Amino acid sequence: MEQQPGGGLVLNVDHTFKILLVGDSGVGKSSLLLRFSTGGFEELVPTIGVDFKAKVVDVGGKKVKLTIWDTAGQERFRTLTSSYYRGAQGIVLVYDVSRAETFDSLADIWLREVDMYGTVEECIKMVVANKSDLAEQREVSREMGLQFAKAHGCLFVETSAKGNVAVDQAFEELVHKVGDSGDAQPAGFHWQHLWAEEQAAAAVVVLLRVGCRS
Amino acid sequence: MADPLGALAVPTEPQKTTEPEDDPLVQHGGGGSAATASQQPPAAPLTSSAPGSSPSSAVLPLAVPAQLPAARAAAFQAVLASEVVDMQRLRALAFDGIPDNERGLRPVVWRLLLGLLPPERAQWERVLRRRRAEYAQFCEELILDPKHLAHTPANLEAAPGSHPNPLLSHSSGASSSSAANSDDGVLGGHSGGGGGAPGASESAAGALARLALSHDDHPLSTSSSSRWKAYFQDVEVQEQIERDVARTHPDMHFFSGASGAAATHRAHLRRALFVFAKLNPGLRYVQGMNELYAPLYWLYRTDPCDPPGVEAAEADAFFCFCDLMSEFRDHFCQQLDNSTVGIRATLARLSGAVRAADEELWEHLERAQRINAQFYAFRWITLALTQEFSFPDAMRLWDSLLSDPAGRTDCLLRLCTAMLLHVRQQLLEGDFASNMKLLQNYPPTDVSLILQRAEALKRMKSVIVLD
Repeated sequence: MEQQPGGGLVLNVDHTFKILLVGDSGVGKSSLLLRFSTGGFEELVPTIGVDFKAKVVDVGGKKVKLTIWDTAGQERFRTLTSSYYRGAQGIVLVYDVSRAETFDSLADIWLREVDMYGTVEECIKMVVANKSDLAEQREVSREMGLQFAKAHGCLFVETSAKGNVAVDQAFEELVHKVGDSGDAQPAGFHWQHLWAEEQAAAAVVVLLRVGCRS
Repeated sequence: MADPLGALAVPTEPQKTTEPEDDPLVQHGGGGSAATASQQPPAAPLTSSAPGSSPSSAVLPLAVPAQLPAARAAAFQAVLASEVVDMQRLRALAFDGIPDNERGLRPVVWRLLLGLLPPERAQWERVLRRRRAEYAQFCEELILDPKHLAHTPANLEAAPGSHPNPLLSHSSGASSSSAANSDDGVLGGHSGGGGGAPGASESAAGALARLALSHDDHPLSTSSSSRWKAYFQDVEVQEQIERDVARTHPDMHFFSGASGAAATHRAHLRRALFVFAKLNPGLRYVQGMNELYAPLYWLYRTDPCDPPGVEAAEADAFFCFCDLMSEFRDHFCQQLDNSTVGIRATLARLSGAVRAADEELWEHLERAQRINAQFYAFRWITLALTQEFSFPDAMRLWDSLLSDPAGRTDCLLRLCTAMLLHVRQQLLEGDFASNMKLLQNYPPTDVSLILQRAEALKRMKSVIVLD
């Protein structure tokens, strides 16, 4: 490790991660992004085309710029959104726990889109089960979501953009995993967070790799 | 409990629209509006048959200075007062903006610009009555009701009970139990909706007879002729519309919130968009259509000078929306995305226009920063700028958009180009992320400056920007 984090060295943003949010219309993609980028929640209009937000996050003392692309969910926009997959290092697949059909769409539509249009081989996928606050209307159990995510090699987290549950954690975990993927990891990447066992093991691999990168 | 479109649902009662005083809906609609609060005299009422009732005394001015709203209003009134409205002159006036404080003026002018009203004044009342009855007919014929798909009450309970058709209303109250799970209620669920529907139950009986159901049809039928299959497809479209209508202008009490008025307005939006989807099976409902319908509906629904028009706002806005869509529909059509008329082609035209107007800016955005017009202008164009500006400012832009003799798409592209030119300095100094942010969240701007720039673009074939 060539630099000690926090050692007085001012670092410009020198790493950019591209993250894409996909999922059916109305599952809360824009609300998740709003919660993550501003900490707020409000009633939002449907996304038409694509929305874009950038946020600089601190990863182990390094500044990483996230460019997050929030796509429209309706089928009509799919021919247009396909181009947004290009270069995405992290893809967030969102469904609404209170609408089973949005969960079914992950397999029927969104994972296929990722396979078809994604260009980054080490792309990290994360399944986000949103609207966990709607406990009474829940149609998709946590177990179902978790199993699906496992089966498709995705991270999994349940969130509530409205209730501010686990939104930051979801993005944080994704960012760390992207950094972990080796494709775009920042030099001197440090891990501040406690990890699940398998992730911690992967992190060690990354730390070993880091020294070789300029 | 009463259906606000009751009058529409009963074409056999055309006199209804001429007796607005008896209709509680009128007060409800007017009272709930945030319309212009000017005390100026109203514009010529739409259905007035008395020639003396319109302020026709104004002399037609030769030139109207933009600085004098009173003179501008008088010029509008003069054009509208003639037996046959001079559409060319009306367009010219409207292009420079319809005075906001002239109550009732914009609703009349937009109905003319959008082809709902013919230039012949004497025909207005007849045309409006016919069109409104036509819309009522659409509603009646196109909205499938599961109650009429089943032969017995037992069948009704079997499947569709969980899918009450929120677009249908029943003055009888028989549907109240199945409607309970709709978030803001069915049309008839709010006493604030007003507008009695004395004939609704008869029309429902007529629908049952018309459907002439086959005994083989049932909720699980996959036959293409199954009314049940059609019904479930409808439910899917309705759910999409429902989700978007619930998210239409969340900042406006007119559309949003728990009030009975807002619930009624949302119900009207849902039904109009659904009827459009049914009449346009190749297009159905596409996200964003709600944004084009909403300003029209708001305008007619809040017109303090036209109580029958308020009552018929849903229908009038529907036909105006259809006219608007006749120009913009290709942008909504996925099959045309790669054609010469689809949204991509229009975005390419915008790119070309920007390049012609300001090569340096174009070079910076598209070449250096790779900011594709699709990233920001997709919404600008498909929603005709309704989300980029405040509601009143968007209405002003639409005055020009609807009246531009060069065509609405051309006008829209000039406005988009002008928007880019207006922030060119910031764009030239900004990086990718800040420019994306700027263009996706266009800053509050004096729209008259945008309009002026757009006008300058029109006058000059190729523009040299001197900023």
